[in-house]
Amino acid sequence: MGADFIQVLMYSVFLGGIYAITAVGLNLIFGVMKIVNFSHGVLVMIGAYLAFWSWKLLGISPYIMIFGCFIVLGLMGIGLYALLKKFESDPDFELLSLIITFGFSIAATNIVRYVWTSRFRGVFVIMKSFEIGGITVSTARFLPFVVGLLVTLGLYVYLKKSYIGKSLRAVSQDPSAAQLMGVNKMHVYLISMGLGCGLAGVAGGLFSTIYAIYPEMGFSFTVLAFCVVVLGGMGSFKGCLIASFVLAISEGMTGFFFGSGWKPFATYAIIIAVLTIRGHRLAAR
Amino acid sequence: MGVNQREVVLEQRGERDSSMGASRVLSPKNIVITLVILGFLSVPYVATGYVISLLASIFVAGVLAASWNLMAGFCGYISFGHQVFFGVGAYAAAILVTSLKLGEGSLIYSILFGGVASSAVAFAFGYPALILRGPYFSILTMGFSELMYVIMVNTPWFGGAEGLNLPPVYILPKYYTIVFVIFAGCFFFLYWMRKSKFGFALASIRQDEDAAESSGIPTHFYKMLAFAVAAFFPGLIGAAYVWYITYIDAVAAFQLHLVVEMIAITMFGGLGTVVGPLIGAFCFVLLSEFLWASMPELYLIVLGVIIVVIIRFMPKGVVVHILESLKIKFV
Repeated sequence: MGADFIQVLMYSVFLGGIYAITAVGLNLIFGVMKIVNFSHGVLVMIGAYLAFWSWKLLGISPYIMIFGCFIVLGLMGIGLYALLKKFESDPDFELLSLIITFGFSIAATNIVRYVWTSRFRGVFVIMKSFEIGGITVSTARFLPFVVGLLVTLGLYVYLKKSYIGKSLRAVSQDPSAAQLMGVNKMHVYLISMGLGCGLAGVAGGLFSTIYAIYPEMGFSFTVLAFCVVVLGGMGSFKGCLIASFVLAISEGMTGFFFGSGWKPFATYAIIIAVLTIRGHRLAAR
Repeated sequence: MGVNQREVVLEQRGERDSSMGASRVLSPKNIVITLVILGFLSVPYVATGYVISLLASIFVAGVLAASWNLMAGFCGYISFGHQVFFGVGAYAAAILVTSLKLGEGSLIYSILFGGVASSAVAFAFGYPALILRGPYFSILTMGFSELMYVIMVNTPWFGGAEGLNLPPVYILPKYYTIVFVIFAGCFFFLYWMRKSKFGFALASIRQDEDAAESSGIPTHFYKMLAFAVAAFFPGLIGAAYVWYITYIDAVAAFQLHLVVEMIAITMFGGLGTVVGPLIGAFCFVLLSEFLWASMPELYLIVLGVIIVVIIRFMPKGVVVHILESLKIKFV
């Protein structure tokens, strides 16, 4: 019981690393462009399939393929932005962008299901495991956690220090003032969309190495990433990181104590509770 | 308010002269509407089973789309979990019937119970949820629907993953009539609502909620009311549907494709119009009949692509575009 508990706790923490990458991407898009990319989870799913098929057919290691996932999904995100660009000045922009990304995610999920069927698939990575204080840690599960932390921290430093990062933050604070200061808004939107969606691809690539992938996983990832953003606070990297670990652990613990059928319950209960309690503050934005 | 001003207001509302009461009742428009209703009500006596069930599914799709449109089009709140009210209505009726061991005689009461239960759930859920706006509300509704699914699947009292069975009765003609009455009620309600105080309040919320709030409209109350009404009709439909298929489980009750259909139909017909979802439902049920028969696996792909393409090229809706280009007046 005790060892099992620690094992579950540890793997939940490792899963939190993947959640962090997903949520940071969504956070970036949501913070800068003020639109919800409802298809974010579906992009994670596409990234996972990309890593899986390049491993299966071409024999490329998923850890190298995450760079490929980043580029392909980043381009896909830019394509998605091209789809949305027409409505930027529309008063219903928020509403229409929600529905359009929802439609996109429905179409993409079902195309994947049609082409590759609903079978559960996964990349089998064989790696040695190591032991810390009597607990066996599998390297394959540990790596995504490390990558997740590195990506989040790297992005944090990049957005804090670089010129592009500063212009991104400027646009997220006040688009028109940033434009008056000579920031190219369109440029910033393209970068944030490309970066955010690319990170979704990275998360998918990492996810495929430790868990089974299937077409419908996208929707739970969307809700989850949004939940992390709400819990951690929009535009906050520290909050995002902590919130993803909190969610991953609460999910793992619910599965451990109540059976895996109740696992999604934790996430949804937390998001409902958070939105209910913090609702007044979120509405004021 | 001066007399002239009042007349202007009445004219805007389409109630030009209240002194012509008798002739208003017998106006050509009302006669046509009555004949159409009688025509639809007589369908079970003349048509084959296939036609009856096809028309019934058009009405079901129409009511579901119209109730989604009530929140999204009239009020500006996108719900990605609206199928939850269909499921709650279905479960409420099923639980009532199975736990009290009722027979076919309880048909009407159990359907009404389903609608009221769904409305009550919406009212309770809407109180915290409708404080939120925009994407927060959308994600919350989706989370709520998933939460209900998880609860229903994992709780034995609700039948668990097996679901609940109702007494097996053949009620297709009755089902048709009930669904048609719900459909007609829904559309007359929306038609009335459009020009009522309630409808104007919703329109003001959609345009600028802060301005509406500061001009003294109790926005939160009106939103909750709209949400309860938008849940009432799917609840009725869900309860009627559970009698029709005599069986309910969580997968059938909270399936995502219901809300995808609602969105696709509304976007096809036109967001915020009364006739849009009506015509949209008609086109979509025919399309889905065709697709389910020939290539069922493409159905949701087509729906998703249609949603994206329509918003990209005709954000007002295909039906609205066609009606506007033909210069036909519509509501």
